[in-house]
Amino acid sequence: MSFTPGQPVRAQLRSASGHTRLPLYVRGRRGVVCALRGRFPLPDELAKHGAGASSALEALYSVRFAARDLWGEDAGDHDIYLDLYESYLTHA
Amino acid sequence: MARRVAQLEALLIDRGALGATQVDDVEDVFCHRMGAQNGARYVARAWVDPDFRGALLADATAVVRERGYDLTGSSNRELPFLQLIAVENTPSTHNVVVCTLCSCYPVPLLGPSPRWYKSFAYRSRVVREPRAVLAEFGLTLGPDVEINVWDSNADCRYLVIPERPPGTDDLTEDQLAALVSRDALIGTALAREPR
Repeated sequence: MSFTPGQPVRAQLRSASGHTRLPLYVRGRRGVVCALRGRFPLPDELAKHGAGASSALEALYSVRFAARDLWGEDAGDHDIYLDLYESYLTHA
Repeated sequence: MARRVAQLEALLIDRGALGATQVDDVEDVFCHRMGAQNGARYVARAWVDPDFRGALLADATAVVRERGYDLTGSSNRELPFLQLIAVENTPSTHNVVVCTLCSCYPVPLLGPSPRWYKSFAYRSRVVREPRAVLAEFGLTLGPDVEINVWDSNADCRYLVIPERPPGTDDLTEDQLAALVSRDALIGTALAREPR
């Protein structure tokens, strides 16, 4: 699944059984893609199989979340940017 | 302890597992060649050279690979991580960096990270209430200043370019770099004003 800047996305709501770089505080939350950072091995797979085993690369996107969408109306008006791999995201 | 380390090093050199100066080189890299003095040079250059500033904001990774950590081109150019992103403070926007899952951080340009950067308190609170956390660092931002929090990971790390302080028009690039602290490069402080 690929995404373009400006597109709304939702971080997947799931419980990881191993290493992941998808923080709990954005799981299931809606954000907006801001930029494509490049293509990198998925850390979840790297942790399982080691650096040599997997050569599959995934797109890494900068995704902006509004504090209010993470913690509610009284959370303040700041934005949080995370770099999230494509398999962490779905179209919103 | 120091004697045991020295004996171990001597043995490893003796058996050919380490080069004679390898440990000294690594120590020199972490203690002298990497550090916030490098990040400060980047910021000072960005303040005086609009083309450099543009290049840094467009692709900071490429700038490091071309010019090295200390901008002379002679130092190490290989980043131990894959992407460096420069984010710029303006009168209306403040940037602050965290790694909520661990302690990712651009060591070559900022030096070893401070203990608080790795603390649960900083990592959990700065995404949730950055204005309050920054105030505890002594940095009180106006209510109209927007805050962007950048949550780093291993592949993608951040360098904050603070605003150039007023009253610095006559300073040299070296003098400007001296105004930029490690904390200013993380975003928990501003660049100092000259005395």
